[in-house]
Amino acid sequence: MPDPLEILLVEDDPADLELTLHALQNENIANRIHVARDGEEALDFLFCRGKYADRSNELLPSLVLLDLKLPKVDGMEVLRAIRAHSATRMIPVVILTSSREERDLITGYAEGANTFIQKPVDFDRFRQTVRQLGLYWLVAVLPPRQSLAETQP
Amino acid sequence: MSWFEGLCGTVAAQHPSRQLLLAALLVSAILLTLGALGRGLSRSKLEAERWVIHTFQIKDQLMDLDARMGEIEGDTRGYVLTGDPAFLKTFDQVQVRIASQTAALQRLTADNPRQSDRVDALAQLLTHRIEIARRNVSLRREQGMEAALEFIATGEGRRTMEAIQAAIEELAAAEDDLLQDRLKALQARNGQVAAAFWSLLVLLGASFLAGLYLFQRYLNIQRSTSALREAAQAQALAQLERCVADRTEKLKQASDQLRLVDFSVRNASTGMVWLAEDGCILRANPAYYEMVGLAEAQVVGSSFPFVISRNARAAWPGYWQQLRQRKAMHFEAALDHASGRPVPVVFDLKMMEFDGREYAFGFLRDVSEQKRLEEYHRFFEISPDFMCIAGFDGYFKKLNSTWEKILGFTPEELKARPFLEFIHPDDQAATRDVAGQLSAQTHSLRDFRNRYRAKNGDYRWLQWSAIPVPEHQLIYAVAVDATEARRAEEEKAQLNRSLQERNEELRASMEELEAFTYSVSHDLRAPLRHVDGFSRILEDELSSQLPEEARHYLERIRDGARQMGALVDDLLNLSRIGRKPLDLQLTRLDSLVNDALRELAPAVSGRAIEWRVGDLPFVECDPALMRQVFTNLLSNAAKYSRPRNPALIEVGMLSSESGPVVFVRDNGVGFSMKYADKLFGIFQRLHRQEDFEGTGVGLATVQRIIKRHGGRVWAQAELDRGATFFFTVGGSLGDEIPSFTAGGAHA
Repeated sequence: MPDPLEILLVEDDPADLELTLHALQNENIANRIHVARDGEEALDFLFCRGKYADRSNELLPSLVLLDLKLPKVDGMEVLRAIRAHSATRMIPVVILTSSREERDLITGYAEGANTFIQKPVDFDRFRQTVRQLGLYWLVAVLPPRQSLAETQP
Repeated sequence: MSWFEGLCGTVAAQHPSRQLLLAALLVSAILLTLGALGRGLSRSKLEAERWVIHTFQIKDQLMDLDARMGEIEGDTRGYVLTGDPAFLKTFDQVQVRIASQTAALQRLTADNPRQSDRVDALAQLLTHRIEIARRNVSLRREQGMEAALEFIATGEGRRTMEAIQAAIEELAAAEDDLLQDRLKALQARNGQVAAAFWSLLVLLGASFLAGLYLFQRYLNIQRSTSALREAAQAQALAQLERCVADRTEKLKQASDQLRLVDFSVRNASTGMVWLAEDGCILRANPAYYEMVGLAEAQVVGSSFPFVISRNARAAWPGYWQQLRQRKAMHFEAALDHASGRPVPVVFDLKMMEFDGREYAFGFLRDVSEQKRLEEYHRFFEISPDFMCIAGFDGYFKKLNSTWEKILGFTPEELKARPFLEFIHPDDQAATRDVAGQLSAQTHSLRDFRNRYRAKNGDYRWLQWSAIPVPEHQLIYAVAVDATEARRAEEEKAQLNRSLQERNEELRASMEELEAFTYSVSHDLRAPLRHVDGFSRILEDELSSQLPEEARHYLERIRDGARQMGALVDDLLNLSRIGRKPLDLQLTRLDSLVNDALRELAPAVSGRAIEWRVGDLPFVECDPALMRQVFTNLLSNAAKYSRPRNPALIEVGMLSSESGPVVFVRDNGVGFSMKYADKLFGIFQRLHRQEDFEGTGVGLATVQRIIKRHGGRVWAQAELDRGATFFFTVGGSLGDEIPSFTAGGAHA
């Protein structure tokens, strides 16, 4: 069995990306992280199309870290798409964004995001947050993925 | 018989009364004749009776004679027989008697010589017999009975007696015959008389009948004349009766009229008063009493000025004078009602002479109603608005003067045409509809506008209020000249439009701003994050290789980034407060304070802070925003009281005249009131960054939030003693800071 894919990180900003990866790595989260640089890539990856047409669709992430401001396909769109498809509907999505806009918050939760986190400017805090995220979603919380695998024919 | 006819004709030609008179005369004549005849008849009857009596007398005498002679004979015989002198008692008497009787006979038959002769003869015989009788007597007396009897036997006496009786019989018979003859003669005469009598009687009857006829005719005439007279009388009587009835009727009418007049005076609604020469009230009517609110007893006899209003009393003598001079006065004055209120009255007084005395009679009319109506009328006329009455038929009926003043048309011009013709063509349809609706309903119209043409061709806007009166088919309406108002409105609309445009622009700007803010929150933070992040990584991973200075600078870099991050956050927050609509809910402020304290807890952990939270009111506010207020104020209080141990932070409520005031007090470092006005400015700080961190946006945020709730926030502080921040929620305090009923500004 291939290495389980843990996290799909959807982030367009390179600096943010580097910092996030740094935080994730430092906190010893399993190193199967796939990065998508925009919404389209994220969707292509999830639904095994386009660039990833020949990817096995059994490999779905246990967690999606989703930025909202993305080129091509917006973060909210990606979220909607994830929630719209039965295959991906149950994947936990954490919105990780700079915005603390109420609008985004509400829409995010309304569209089915599991968590909404504002990326703090303070890196220490960011690291702490990411660590908590990982611990929470990947360790403490039971993923739906296994049950999905079981129920799928 | 022509004379008879002539006579009849003459008679017939006479006047009935004369005819009657003639007839009466005739009748009377006949009657007289009849009377005479009748008398004649009765006389002859008397005569007949007389003769009969005569005859009977004679016969009676004769018989008596006979009887006497018989007596004598009897007596003689008796004496002769008896010799009783008693028998001779009456002898002489009888003899005398016989003599007288004989004389009587002689007298009685004096008228008839034959009878007289016979009587004479008889008398001789009688005498002879008597002589015989005497002789007898004397014989008897002297010679006795035989002598006498002898003598008697001779029969001389008897023979004489028989001769006497025969003579008597003869006389009687002759007398009877005479009687018969006489009677016959009489009867014959009677017959004639009777015939005449009867014929006259017949004539009488006839003339009586004629008379009756004439009388009848006369009566008829009389009757007719009397009927005529009666008729005339009846007519006259009837006329008289009519006259009387008429007079009675007139009297009744007059009496009725008088009663009516009296009744009217009593029940009239106009006051009437009669004054004597000296001005005293002689009489007044109930309407007057009512007018002045007094009883009859109080009014009558009193001097008229007594009940005139005190104001007018001075004028009364003048009026009275004028009245007596001019004989009539008409003026307006006020009467005092008994209750004190004045009653406006029109006086119509007139002096008049009646039965030799002078009186003043007056009508007093209560014109309060009239005055009121005058008021209404004046109101209608002088009202500066357009007042009118229009008919359902589409024409003006009545207009006040404003129409002419403003539009220039005379009322006649306006009434001559349907009012629609004076309305701007564009408004005519709407006006027609509205007028139609008014005609059909009973509720009023308000704020309807249309344009009316003035005489000079201009149009003026009129704004109408109208109410229909269906029973009279009229509309009562008033309009204000809305031309200016309309102009103002249009200007206002224009202004509104430009305002709206401005608003739109503003909104557009706001949206732009929001979009900007939104992207700022992303875009500004990201680089800051990077700066901080990489600095930290640098610090972490290469700290061993970095000199002290480098680390210090890195810290500075990180500080800068963080500071800017905080600033960006605060600014974003601040801007959001202005844009977000208030979600007003009735909130217990205590709960918000507790929320804020919870939020602060990590920042103040480990510190000795004494929190005193008093009872706070329920207010209508946006809880989220109000929470921020407390967060900011409390975090400030905590921050600036960091040097204190323990820090004393108090939250409470004060009452003021204008409502509750919430305060947050600390015993921190405070600030100088010199810079109080800078307190709420953005980025304005009164402390150094290295002493107390902060963005300088916190209080500006608080102020923005409080202002949005319509409240006020202010502070009082003293350097090194602490600061108190006050705010109100809702209500407006103006620019004044209210005074408090309890507590001071700063402990």
